[in-house]
Amino acid sequence: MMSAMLSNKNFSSFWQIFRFTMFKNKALVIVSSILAFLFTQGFTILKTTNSKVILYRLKIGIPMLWCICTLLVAVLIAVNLRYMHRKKSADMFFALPISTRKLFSARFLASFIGSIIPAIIGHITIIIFAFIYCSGSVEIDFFACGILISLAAMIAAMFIFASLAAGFMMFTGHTYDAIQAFLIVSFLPFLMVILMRRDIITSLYGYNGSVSTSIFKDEFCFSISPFMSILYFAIESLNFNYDFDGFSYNNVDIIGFLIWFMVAVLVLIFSIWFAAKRKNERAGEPYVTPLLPIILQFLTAVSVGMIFAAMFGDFTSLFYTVAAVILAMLGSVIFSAIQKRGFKKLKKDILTGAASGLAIIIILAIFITGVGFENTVPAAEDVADVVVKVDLLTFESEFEKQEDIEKVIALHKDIISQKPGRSYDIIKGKKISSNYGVESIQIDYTLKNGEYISRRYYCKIEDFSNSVENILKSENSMERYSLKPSYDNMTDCTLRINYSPSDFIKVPIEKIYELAQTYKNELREGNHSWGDLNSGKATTIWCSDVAFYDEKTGSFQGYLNLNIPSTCTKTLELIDECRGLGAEG
Amino acid sequence: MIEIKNLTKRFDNILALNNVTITVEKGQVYGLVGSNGSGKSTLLRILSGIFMPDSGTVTIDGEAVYDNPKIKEKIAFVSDSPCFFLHANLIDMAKFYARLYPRFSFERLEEINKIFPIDKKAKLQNMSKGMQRQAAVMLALACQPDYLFLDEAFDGLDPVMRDALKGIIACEIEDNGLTVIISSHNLRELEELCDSVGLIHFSDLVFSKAVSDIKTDIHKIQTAFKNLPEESEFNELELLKSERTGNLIQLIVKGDMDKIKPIIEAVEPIFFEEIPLTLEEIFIYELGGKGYDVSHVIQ
Repeated sequence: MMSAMLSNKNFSSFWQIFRFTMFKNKALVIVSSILAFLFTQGFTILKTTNSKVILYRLKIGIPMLWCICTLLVAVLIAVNLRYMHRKKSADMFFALPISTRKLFSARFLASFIGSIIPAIIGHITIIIFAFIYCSGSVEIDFFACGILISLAAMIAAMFIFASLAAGFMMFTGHTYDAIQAFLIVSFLPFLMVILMRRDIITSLYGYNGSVSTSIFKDEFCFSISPFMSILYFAIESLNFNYDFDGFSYNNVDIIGFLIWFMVAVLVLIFSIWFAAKRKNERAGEPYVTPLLPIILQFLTAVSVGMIFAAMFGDFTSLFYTVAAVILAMLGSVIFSAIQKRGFKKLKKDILTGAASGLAIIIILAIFITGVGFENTVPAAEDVADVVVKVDLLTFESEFEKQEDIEKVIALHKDIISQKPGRSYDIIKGKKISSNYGVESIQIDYTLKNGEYISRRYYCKIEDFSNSVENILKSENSMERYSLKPSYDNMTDCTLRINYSPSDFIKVPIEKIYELAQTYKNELREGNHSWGDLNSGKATTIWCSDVAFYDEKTGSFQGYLNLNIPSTCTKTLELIDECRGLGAEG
Repeated sequence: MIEIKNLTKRFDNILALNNVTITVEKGQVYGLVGSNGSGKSTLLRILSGIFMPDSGTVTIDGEAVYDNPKIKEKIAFVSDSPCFFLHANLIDMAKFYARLYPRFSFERLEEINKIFPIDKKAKLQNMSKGMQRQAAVMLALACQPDYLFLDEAFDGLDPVMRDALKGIIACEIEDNGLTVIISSHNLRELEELCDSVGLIHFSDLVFSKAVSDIKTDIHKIQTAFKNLPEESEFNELELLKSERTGNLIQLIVKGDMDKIKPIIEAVEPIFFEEIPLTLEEIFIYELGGKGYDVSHVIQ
């Protein structure tokens, strides 16, 4: 079959260039393969016969394989595709009797294959050594399977790297530009994370620890970089069978990885297509120069627009990923062009771009204040349940009854009507789980169609005390303190009393029910402001940390913290009674 | 046959070639002359399929060249700055070309190596410019092409090697019907080799003719008179230039010698002699007559 293919003239020239390029790459590939072997096997069996230790040692060579292969693929692509960027070599290669697309494809393929050889050698030898030294071990099959998956992931990642690097080489006019652009795109997110972590993000979002900040740092910055994205995948690949209890690829951003993979395929296809259209006389000159003003304007506009959209917008993480990919590609050409044109010439373009961005902001502002989500609160009939979290008050309650949902919506509208401005964060599609310990009200709706709407408002809770209190005194909220139904199986529990003196007492569960019911009644009947319950200013007595001890299982099953105002006299009497019971017990 | 019709090529705002039309018959040697940056190399690169024409057509044996491997197999191009792989020697490069050019002959390489004695195992990148050019020519000829394009081929070669190269090209033409296009800014180098010559000046092809036609069409005449004739007596001649030193007059005249001679003899010269013109002189007089100042173009 091979001979038949070789006799095909079209394939023959491709094969000859591929073979020749592979041959020329041999020194780099051999050195990398030796390093890969040494790093993965070098200290495999030193002073141990423990199979788990050997397997672990075998596996920890994999990060080095990633480093070696990543470096190798970048070098091979730069070396093998630089023929496009040097007048001398362009003259030689483009005069050869082979189509430009085949020439590019053959050189690309040789680079890619060359880069995965050390990966294959490293992985396969890991498996061989594992079978040699750990045969009979229960984990060996599982281990080998994990290693093969790691190999597949690495090959896919190298393909992404190779394709993107080839794209850079194709669409930039100079090898140096291409390498520089690739590095900038890869490492810029690192810098962004470092630089924007505190002051800049705080000024943009109002609060450094906000959800948008977190999204910006974790997803935007992460997704913008193929290097980061794939490195993350690489690190996560180490998690598999770490404790020999199953693969943990669930944590990996598979969607992000797949998006990069698809982008890589598209970049490669477009690069191969462009190979025949490329003006070879441009060797040494950036291709993007004529397009620079347009690209720069677009980029600036999108960037400015995205920052403001992230502040006020309602973007899903997928949007960030896609936008980040586009920005990454545009960023690469921009940087290479800036290298050639200089900043002064770009000033006008940047200003024009900023003006475009401003236009986007105005449109966004109109959208936000007019028909935007800021004013969009779900209809009560669409809400399946809603959770309200009031920070500092340590209050959290879930409501399912329609009347309670309406109360929450009333609170939500109250907050919106007071326009908390940029000090709130919004994210759709994710539930906010972090508690940042600042004054905030968070409302998480679960709609009947399964969607989530999650809002957190950094605002003075005092401003909304009436609404909050209204919710606080609702039946559902009180239900939380009734200790039903979660702890029905409890036989007794430990009560930790945090006031004069602090004490741990073991009391029957029935007593706790009585205590909770009394507390609930007193809260409902009494005229307690949220502040009484919240800050402790009016509360001289605390009873916190009710620890529920399950006698059957012999373990603590849950904790409850109650803030008891001094006006809840009956509750306090019961606590004292419990103290007596505890003393007896 | 090479046919270039209305070829135009731009590099951004720079017009490299403007509406160039040239036809080169099979087995001919065509010389391209022009100053640096006139467009000679661009034309050769387009002919070799390196650049895409912006407009116009470039065909070899009736087929477009760009991205056409079938035609490119018949072409060998020697660039003005030859490229070799890092650490490669002549054998390495020969092996590379042999993979892609079906007619590549190691025997032919050996034959030419006897004329250009280059160490086949020495690294090409360490060689002098002249030796690198010899190596590039050797490799090109070993491909046994039908069409050979040489960009500043004689640049950097010593006189012996220049003659050797001319000899090899002449043999190839005679034995294999090779068609050659050579660019140079030194017309003297091309004079004895070329069948036709074209001058490219500021992207325009201002002149393209067979050398034989050029030489029969323009004449340098040296004559002396007892009594100096009136200028009006030469009105019938297409005089490109006249120069007087005492009684001796030197005339550059365009036209048929059979018609020129009776007109001068009618003025009864004491002495009349036709002096052979160099190609360089012909170009200068011819183009100067057309209003082109090309004295700086042709070295």
